[in-house]
Amino acid sequence: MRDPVSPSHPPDSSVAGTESLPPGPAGGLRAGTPAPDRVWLERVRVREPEALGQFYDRYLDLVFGLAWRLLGDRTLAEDAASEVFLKVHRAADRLDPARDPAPWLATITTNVCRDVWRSGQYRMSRRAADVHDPAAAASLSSGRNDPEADTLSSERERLVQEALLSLPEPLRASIVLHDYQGLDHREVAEVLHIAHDAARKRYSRALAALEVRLRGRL
Amino acid sequence: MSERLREPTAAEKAAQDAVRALGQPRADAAFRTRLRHEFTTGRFGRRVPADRPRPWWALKRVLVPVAAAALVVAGVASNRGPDWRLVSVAGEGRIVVDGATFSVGDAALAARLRHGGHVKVEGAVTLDLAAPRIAAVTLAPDAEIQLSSTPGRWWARGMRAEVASGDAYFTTGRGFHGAHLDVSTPEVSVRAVGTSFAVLRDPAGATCVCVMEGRVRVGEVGAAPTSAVEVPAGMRRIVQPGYGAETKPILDESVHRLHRQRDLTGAMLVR
Repeated sequence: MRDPVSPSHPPDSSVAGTESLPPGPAGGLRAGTPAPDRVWLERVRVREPEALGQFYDRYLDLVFGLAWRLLGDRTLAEDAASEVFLKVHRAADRLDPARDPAPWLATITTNVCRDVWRSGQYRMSRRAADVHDPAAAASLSSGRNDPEADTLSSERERLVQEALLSLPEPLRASIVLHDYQGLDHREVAEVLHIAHDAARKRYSRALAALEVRLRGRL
Repeated sequence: MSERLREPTAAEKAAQDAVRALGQPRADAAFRTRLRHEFTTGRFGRRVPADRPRPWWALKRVLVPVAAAALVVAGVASNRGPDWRLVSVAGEGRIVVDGATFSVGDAALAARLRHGGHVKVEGAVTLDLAAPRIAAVTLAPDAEIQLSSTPGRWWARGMRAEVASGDAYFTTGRGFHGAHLDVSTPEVSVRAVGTSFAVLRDPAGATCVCVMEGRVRVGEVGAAPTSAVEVPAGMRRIVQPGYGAETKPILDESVHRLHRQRDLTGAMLVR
């Protein structure tokens, strides 16, 4: 079995750049962010507190957002984020400063969420998912100062999130990693530990299933 | 080579766009602050782990020793043979069990004898003990023996008695099958497997083993096991240190006493 915290993405992969990413993933972790500085990652590797703080500030939203989209529950997403940062702290010395840590974090987050999916707590919480939670809606950063647009946007968010959560977990992960997180199919394949072709086919199935669930609702 | 997948339909593209347009959820300020502190210090004290199903090996690691221990305890408890019961105590005198003295009518005597022990009959007292289905032991006046607990049901199937002095009579029951009884005096050792016999030791040190039923092997203490002599029913073996040993017909007195014991305890032994 692969180590869920070992950096596994190829150093020469185009995933480190943004050219191969789908256009404009609003919630994507790496969207519009410059490549991390190698010296700074070296300091993270030796667990220098200041560097760890900057690392956290840079990637918390990425980790929390991905966990939220995969789990659909604030508490579970917080638990997952805590678990991810604990694993990162423990495995910091294995961080490769030459590579963008975002795909690595996405892998860890997805693995943690996969563990949560298998848990009894998740099955219980799915009966009362907090996609209707006003606090959850308010926490989504629209960046606009338009209450009416925000209300519509919030409702749209709710429908899309509901549709995502109704997908089987492997399909949900495929869509979230590709379209929300902004990973290309090769990266998704590595995160999910499947072949590149299998990742593409799974994504295709996931997109068709999502479209059925959203049909006439948006 | 990758196979070419079909292009998304317009509706699928709309679904794709809807996912890409999802907002960025943000964690609570309190959570952010707490986790930041934990991450930068490495102290994840308040971490609430996700409720993962317990790995099977962790469960097994706990369950196996506990189940094994429970099995051993249950096995040991269920292997224990029945306790000795006081069938009758008659005559005048007293009984000393492991240093504690009891009068003939003392109700506490039965409880004290449950697991055997060092039993000495002082005076003209005859003491009859029996373990249901297993064995009966009778101590004649002035007998002194060390009696073990009864044989286990499945293992530790041995029972021992050491006759220090006086006459002791032994009869085994149906439940004794497969077990063995070792009786010894300072001079003689006797091994019996399902039988009715007496071990009589006089103050001069001579031991007489009288066999009414079955067969027993009688050997001198310290002698080679091959030198033991098998004594058949109706015979007795007299061993007198320094004077040798001889086999003779059983005495009426012994037969009478063994018959008395069987009459008294036969129902309990289910013979």
